[in-house]
Amino acid sequence: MITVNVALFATLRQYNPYGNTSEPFPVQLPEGSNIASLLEILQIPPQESKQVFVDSVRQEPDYILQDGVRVAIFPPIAGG
Amino acid sequence: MELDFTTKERYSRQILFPPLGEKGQAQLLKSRVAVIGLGALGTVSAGTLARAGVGFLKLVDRDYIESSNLQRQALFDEEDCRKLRPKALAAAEKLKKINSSLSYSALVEDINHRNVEEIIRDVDLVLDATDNFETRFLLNEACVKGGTPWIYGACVASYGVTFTIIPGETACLSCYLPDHTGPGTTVSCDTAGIIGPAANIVASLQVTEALKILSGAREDLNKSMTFFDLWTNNFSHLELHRQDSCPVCGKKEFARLAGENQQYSTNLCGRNTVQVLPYTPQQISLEKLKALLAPLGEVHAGEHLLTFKTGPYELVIFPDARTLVKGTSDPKLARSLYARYIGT
Repeated sequence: MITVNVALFATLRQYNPYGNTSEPFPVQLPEGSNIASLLEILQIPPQESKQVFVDSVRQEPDYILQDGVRVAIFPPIAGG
Repeated sequence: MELDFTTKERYSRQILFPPLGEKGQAQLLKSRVAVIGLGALGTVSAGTLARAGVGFLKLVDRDYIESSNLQRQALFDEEDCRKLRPKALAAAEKLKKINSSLSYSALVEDINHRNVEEIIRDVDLVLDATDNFETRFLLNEACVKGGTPWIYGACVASYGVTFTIIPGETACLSCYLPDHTGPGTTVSCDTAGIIGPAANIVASLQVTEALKILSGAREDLNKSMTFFDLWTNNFSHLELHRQDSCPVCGKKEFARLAGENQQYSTNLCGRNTVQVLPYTPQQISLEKLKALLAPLGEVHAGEHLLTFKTGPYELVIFPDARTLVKGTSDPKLARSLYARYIGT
């Protein structure tokens, strides 16, 4: 298993299993898991607009996660 | 540049702030900034920049003032709303009262691939105060191509986000967001609401970054994307790295500037309104159009635009033939109404 540290922002905070907060929390995944499987575990629906950053770089759903990485997930915000 | 006594007095509190000082103030006075969009972010930013003494402000907005704007859009009042004033013109008028010693240019225009490079050509910095990603992607391409710094800012509900983009040094918008963030895929103020303070904070963060860039304090810039939620008291920072594969800052592909994504009928998310653009740039006489439309429905002439009501629809027509068709979110229907009443 690997452990990644996840932070969810804005409207996506509701998918944080530890409460409605942007504080990072650990998620355990089988080795070789990608971003898509992380989103599934977090129960973030595919239709939710989001960008996923792994250690500060945006990555696509098929990106394989490594042990210990920081994952930040944002919705794009357009208003002004 | 030596500042005269009156100028020193006017900006004395800012000059006392050591990172700026008299030298920084002199830099601000010769600086040129474009504020793109004059909604909540743009009015707060433009007002703060004018008070700070930024020498030239170019104010660009395609819209006119409505009552739902007054809750948060700092430079406007009820009279502007009654007179259906275009935001750019009303903002310039207010800013001249705030600081008459500066220069202003007000453009009531839709930013698109035909005009964006010309609009930002003579400024040192672009402040993003738009309300959609399509315009931001276009600004991003124009700024990266021209080497002009720009500051992304956006807000909705009680959330806000800012990121300072220095072409060639930092990540750009296309590093942060993939290209398919089109209309309807994001939340906007018109769909999710907004509290005024969220916009004020974003604009204040943007202007602070602008002051650093314009006064030459680039080493003090915020290198992270800042993200906050005022309602839950949360401020976060995320370092963003450039993507080597980025089509814009990496590969220098400027598809939007080439007009590849240009849409001539755009649904304005959450407003039950479609913006229709003429296929070729043109100017029309609102007087003549008023006479033509008067027998067909209710026509009202504002100072710089015409409104025309027909059935459940209202058309707001600008002198450049750009038209907001209210009462529908169907671009095809809007185009058809446009063709019927304005021309093709």
